[in-house]
Amino acid sequence: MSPRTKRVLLGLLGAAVLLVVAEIIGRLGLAGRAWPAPIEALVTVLGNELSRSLLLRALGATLLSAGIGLVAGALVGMAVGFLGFLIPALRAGLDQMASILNTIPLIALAPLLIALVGPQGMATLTAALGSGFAMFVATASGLVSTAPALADFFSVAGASRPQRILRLSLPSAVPSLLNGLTLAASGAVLGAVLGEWFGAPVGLGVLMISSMQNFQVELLFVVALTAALVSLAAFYGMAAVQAVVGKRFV
Amino acid sequence: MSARAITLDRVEKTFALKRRTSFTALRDVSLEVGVGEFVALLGPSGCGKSTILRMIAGLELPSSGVLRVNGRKPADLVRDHRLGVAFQDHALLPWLTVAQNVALPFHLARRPVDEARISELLQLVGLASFRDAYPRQLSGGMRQRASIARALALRPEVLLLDEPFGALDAVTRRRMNLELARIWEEERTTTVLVTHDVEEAVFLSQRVIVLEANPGRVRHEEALAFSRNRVDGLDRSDEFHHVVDRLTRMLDS
Repeated sequence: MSPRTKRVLLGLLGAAVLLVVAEIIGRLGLAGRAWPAPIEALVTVLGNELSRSLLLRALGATLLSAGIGLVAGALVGMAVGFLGFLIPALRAGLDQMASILNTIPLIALAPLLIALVGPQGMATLTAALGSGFAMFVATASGLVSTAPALADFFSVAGASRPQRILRLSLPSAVPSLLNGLTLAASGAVLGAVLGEWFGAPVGLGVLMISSMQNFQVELLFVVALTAALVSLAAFYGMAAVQAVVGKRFV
Repeated sequence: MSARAITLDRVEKTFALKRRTSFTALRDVSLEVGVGEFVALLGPSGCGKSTILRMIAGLELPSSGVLRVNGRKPADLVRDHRLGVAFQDHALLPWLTVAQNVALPFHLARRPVDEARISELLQLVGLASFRDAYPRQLSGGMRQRASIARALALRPEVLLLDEPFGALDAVTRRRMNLELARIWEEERTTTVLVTHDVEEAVFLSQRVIVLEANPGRVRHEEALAFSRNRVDGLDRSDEFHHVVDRLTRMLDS
């Protein structure tokens, strides 16, 4: 057995053990009524036509917000990162602004943002904020990660600045950009769910809040699980892209 | 020696370290390289031989003294794309194939890519059947040969080699030296090779310039005239080993 399969099997075994323990606690009611039995919850929620379509509709809405937010945030993040690379005088200020914007808790910014885009726009905006920051950092660091020997070669070969940017800096940034995209993609899903808490009409976040308020513990559990799985899928999907595309650039 | 291709006249190079302290890498270095000559700069690490090469390549400026390549400043040759360089780190772009890497100097010089020249060079360095391979798919020796082919692409006025085989194992290195001697016989480009390997320097060059460290300066110059041909077992001849021994002792003392 290869070390890789061993690791995967061990991981699956761990997950299965966790699931069984959670199931036992839930079935026996050891932790009270708020602890659902995972397998039972899945069967109940997915087996019910109404709750299943509710979940799918919410998932669709969240994926849409996350997708739009990811694309918009990534484009803005990359553009700003590139701007800081083109005009070095801006670099320090942009770095600082981006990290300040990223460290302010969302809850503190929320009233301002709601006033800006309305409750319906919040999911997309928070998704864009998270992925935008990841892509800004990836772009800014990727563009300056050029190997010194390659830079020397371009100097001696008499390359112009545009040639250097197009033929050296941008391709050198690709691995870093792909890396940023894996973080941005999973971040966008979680950002969208979080943004939906601020008054979106539909989405996984909305469903979480409503099921919590109505004490639909099983539904709440399934919604949270869905959000986590989608986020993981986004991460591993991008990681797969990275593995295929990225190895050409190193 | 007929026409001079490279001249260094009392060149000094100091690097600023911390506040008000500096390090003299080279002091009063004067040397000349003739047109079409192959000269090796030989010395221990820290003698500034790579600094000399980087100055000829226009990557560093002398602190004082005059450095000219075919009567011009290195920066002017760089602007006209007249220098070819190969480093110890092959410096091939990983996202381009071998042929694309060799074609890169044409693009950077905004010239139409001369496909015939590229095929000829790949043939010359023995990589014709690897033209569509990526650098990561090649062995270390093949990468260095691709790097040398790229350096020769535009028929440069001067070829600069900074320990091009320094990272290779001894066996591959010997084979590469033989290859380089053969390539050089074909192209006859003015070449400066930086190395700390005495055998390599004596085997490849027509003249060896021995440097010493702290501060870096010229210690000895030796023109080599062997009766034996390089590709014909020069490195197994007695006269070759005499010179190698003498220069090795000089470096040791």
